[in-house]
Amino acid sequence: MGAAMEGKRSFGEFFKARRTALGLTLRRFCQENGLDPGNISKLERGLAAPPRGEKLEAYARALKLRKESDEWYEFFDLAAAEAGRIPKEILEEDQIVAKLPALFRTLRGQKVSDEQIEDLIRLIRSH
Amino acid sequence: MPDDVVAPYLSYDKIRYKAEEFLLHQHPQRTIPVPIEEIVEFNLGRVSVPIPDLRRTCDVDGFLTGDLRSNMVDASLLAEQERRYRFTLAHEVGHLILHGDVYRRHAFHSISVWKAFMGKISDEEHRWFESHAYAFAGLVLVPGDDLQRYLTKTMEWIQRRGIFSETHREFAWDWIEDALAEQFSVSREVIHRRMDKDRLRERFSM
Repeated sequence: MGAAMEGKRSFGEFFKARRTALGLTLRRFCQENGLDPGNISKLERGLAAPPRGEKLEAYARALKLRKESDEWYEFFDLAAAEAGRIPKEILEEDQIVAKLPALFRTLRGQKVSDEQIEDLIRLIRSH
Repeated sequence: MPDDVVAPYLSYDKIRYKAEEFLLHQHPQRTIPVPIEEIVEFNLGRVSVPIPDLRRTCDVDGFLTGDLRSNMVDASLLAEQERRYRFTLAHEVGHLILHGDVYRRHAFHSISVWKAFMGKISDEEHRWFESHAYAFAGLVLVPGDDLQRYLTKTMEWIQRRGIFSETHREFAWDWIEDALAEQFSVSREVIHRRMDKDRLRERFSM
């Protein structure tokens, strides 16, 4: 997330700001554009690298960026700047800890097993 | 870290007050269905993170993360079950509003400390935490005044068509609950519980 640290917006931050400015929640945005919420969420959180080519153009259209406008160019510039970045597939322990549930009980109201806790940590680690 | 993890005492009326206060600040327009997704994402700035197989693997629909900044939700719930997703978000807001202080007091910094924290919550306390959040979610998504107003309108409609007779009473109530569930964009079970809590069946019985 070098760009964000230098005070510039990252691709994911730009994406999310634009989607939010359209008044579309993650679910609604993905539903309207036939996109996978998991992928878009990862993109917005900087956990997936921006795509290239037609897919990137499709995202620009979904975000209703006018072709050749300043925002259009910023979107593609940010994508290009992050194209070579290898996203962190595995979160550090402190990042995992922050994402652990404040409360954790199954739908049937049972305490979770150690195995479920390990499964949960594995899921958080990769998403 | 304090040893005891105790749910605060909250009566249903107190939770009703908290839900009303929440709506007053976050949704003064009071349109129905309550736009809980927009409130959570735009007003509260909480991120929804879809997790594939969360329900199948861990038997949970979603949860508020310990840093209180995001909601992890089952990916298929988010993509395919709008009403259940809405309720999950409202439920997690309930934990944030009603139990945020408890979580902040017990902040954890490692997985082992988190596991210890989970172990300290007794079954009874956990049931209280969950019951508060369920009540809050129902009251936010189905506010009392609106429920009465919509119920009155629906009853008038159904009476004009002669459906609400003695012989069809059960069928009529089922029909009403389905209609209200559609209007509030919640499950029929949520409407059923809210009507029970506000004793609306008794008050509207003919």
